[in-house]
Amino acid sequence: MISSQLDQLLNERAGKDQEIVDVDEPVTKLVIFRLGEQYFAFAGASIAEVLPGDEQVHYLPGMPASVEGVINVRGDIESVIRLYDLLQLEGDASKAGSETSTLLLGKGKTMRSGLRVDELLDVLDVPESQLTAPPEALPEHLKPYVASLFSFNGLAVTVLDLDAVFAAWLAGQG
Amino acid sequence: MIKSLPLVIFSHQNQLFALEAGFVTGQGKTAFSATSGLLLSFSQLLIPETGSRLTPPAHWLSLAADSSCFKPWLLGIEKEAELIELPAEDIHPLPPLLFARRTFPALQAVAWYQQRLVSLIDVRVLQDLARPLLSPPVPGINQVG
Repeated sequence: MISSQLDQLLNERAGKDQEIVDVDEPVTKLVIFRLGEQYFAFAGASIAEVLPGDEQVHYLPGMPASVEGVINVRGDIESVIRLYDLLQLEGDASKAGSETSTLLLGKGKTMRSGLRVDELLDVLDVPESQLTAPPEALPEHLKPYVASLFSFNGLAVTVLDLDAVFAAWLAGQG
Repeated sequence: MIKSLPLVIFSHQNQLFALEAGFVTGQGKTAFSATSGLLLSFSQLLIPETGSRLTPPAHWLSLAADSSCFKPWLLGIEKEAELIELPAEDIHPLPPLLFARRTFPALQAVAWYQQRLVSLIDVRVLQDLARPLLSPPVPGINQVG
């Protein structure tokens, strides 16, 4: 039987359409960053802006050590906090002044604040199927904040819930 | 609508602080103080643990009388204070996260003055902070700490 090239073409097209459907699977935009030796991410929807790490941060007296200060963002005052203590990370928070450091302007449901990170790695769409639930073995202190985990270029990335992070910080942790 | 706010601004440990001018009734040098009121240094109120170990204040501000304060007191500061007026648009509420976690409860707002950050102090809360340091009165001693 002579094969129909049209059939073949249509079959190939159908296959491509199927592939397109696959690509359209739900994705989540994530802002991936490093703190110390560990990798974390926030949902892109919870990061309003990425600001240069050398943005002038004004020291504010009468604050806990995890407060770096405040910044002037187009006339608005925003706090800048460090997450080392909250996430119980080892390392020197003074690295905040390093060349790779960045400020993420986090926007939760009711709160917003600048967050100092040591390095912004990427902002990308991750298929939701690649996000895995936090394992039972997750350290107890991280459980309230961890939404999911995923692998990025071979690195284990912990996706944090910004509202949970803000709530814990407000409660006096970190 | 308030367009500007008169403030008494002073420097402490190279940081700027300000009080609403309406709450400040006078200022002077501690060396020439003829008042019998107690002198509390600002650092004692800002950082109670270490404040009293810092340099003694060279100037004082007198604050509007607080009827609940049984004894008049003076706020000791490092350098002479200035009277300024800031436009309302330069004054900002403390961001909510910072308001919730402040370790200095009298910190009420922040402002920009000559491109520097100014911490605006609530005088009423400052007086609340002073009250425990004023009691009990010690006869013959006119400086606490």
